[in-house]
Amino acid sequence: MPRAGHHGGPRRVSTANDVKPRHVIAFDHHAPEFRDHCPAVVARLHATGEPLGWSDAHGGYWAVYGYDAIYDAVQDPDLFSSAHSGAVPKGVPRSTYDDPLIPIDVDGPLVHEYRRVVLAWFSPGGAKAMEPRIRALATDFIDAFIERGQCDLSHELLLPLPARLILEGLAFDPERWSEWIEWIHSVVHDRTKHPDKALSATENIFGNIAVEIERRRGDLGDDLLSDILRARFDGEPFTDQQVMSYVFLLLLGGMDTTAGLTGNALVELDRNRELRQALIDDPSLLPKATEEFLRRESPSYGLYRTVTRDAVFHGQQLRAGDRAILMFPAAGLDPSAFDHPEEIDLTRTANRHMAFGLGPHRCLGSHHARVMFQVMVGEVLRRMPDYELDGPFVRFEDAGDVYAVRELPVRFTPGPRETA
Amino acid sequence: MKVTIDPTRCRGHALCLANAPDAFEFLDLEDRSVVREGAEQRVPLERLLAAERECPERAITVDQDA
Repeated sequence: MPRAGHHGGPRRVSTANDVKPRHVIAFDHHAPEFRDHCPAVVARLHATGEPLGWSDAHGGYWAVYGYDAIYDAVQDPDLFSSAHSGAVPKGVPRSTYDDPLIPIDVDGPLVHEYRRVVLAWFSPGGAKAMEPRIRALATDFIDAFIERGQCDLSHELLLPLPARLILEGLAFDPERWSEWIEWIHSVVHDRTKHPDKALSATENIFGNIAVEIERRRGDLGDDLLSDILRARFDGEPFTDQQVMSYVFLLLLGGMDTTAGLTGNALVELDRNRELRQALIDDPSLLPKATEEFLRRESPSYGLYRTVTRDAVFHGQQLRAGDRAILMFPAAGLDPSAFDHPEEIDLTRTANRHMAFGLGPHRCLGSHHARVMFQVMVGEVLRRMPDYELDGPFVRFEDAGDVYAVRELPVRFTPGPRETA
Repeated sequence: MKVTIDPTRCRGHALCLANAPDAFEFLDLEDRSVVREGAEQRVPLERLLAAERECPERAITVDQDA
């Protein structure tokens, strides 16, 4: 019986008496070891018996990886603040932009006010309405390589589909998806090892969004950017900087994470042929499998908070100003919350994973992500059921923020195109 | 029996709608779910319990004694 569901009621409040010695861990989420052995690294953290630890890397930070500790941190935004700016920089190490991204770098009631602007688009109903478009995109992308018998699934399906969808939503030129993807990937994956490249990509992103804002301002339409430009708060619109920050976040969320999840899942389905056959034989299992892949293969590690005051948290003495990474995917691998967390188990119940985070900042795109994931995996299994790795797959060099596949070469029995 | 959703905990994951579609309704612009009128009478208990069990925010309570 999974134990994640056995909580509720008042939670234990730590007192000064509960302070343990600082739990120092040899850990760096940006290190090659994390990229190459992520599940094992996370399992080793859980095996310490402590739900969080202090790493001396990058100037020092708390890695919070235990299920209950992350749950508690998210419920207490007064202690674990999301509010970031130049004065309280975000990220470990510091990100390439100082202005708060909206709404992820904001605390309090404004989070919901800001999210409301795009909720019609990102609601469950909004995602369902996009499904035909997502299916059409999947058909087109797969048609482009299905007769060939080999492709790079990452570059030819998993990356372009979500990227095109968010660009279409913003009414940006969707044909430029590969440029946008390159910039977004640089921001996410280069910022620790090649900060100059990441900074230059950030400038490109903000510059191009600024051009779109100017173009759109006099000609608002039925798209996400127009909705953001139309929004008023106490009668005031967003500043241009805020509009750019909002759009930047939509691009970040839209372009990297769904592709990452799907790539991780397709790698697992290459290894686990029994599971693949089960999903081919009964596609109605896909929603259940989706939650298991979200629990076990979520790419979204790099969510940061800043500690606002001295406090004891799960036995550890936190100090005001400490930086913390809430490793939401690690919660899904916590053996104190999930039996046999390393197994994809289609009969698992109480699968309260945290792949989309929890609390006021729950992933805005989660409903779209589920639909895109199910369409992409479903279509790959339907049209190329015998796909197998054609040489080694390659991960992004830095997996600290998004643990994802960059190159996924596969071969398969060629099939027919489904459109002319 | 009574099914409730704590509106301060619900964050719009919408998994309750996946587990018991007839029991809940999603309020798009409030980004949260609410219990439909008469859900307790119409929806099989196992579906309601699944919705409670799978809610990541632990926002749903199925009180079988109420």
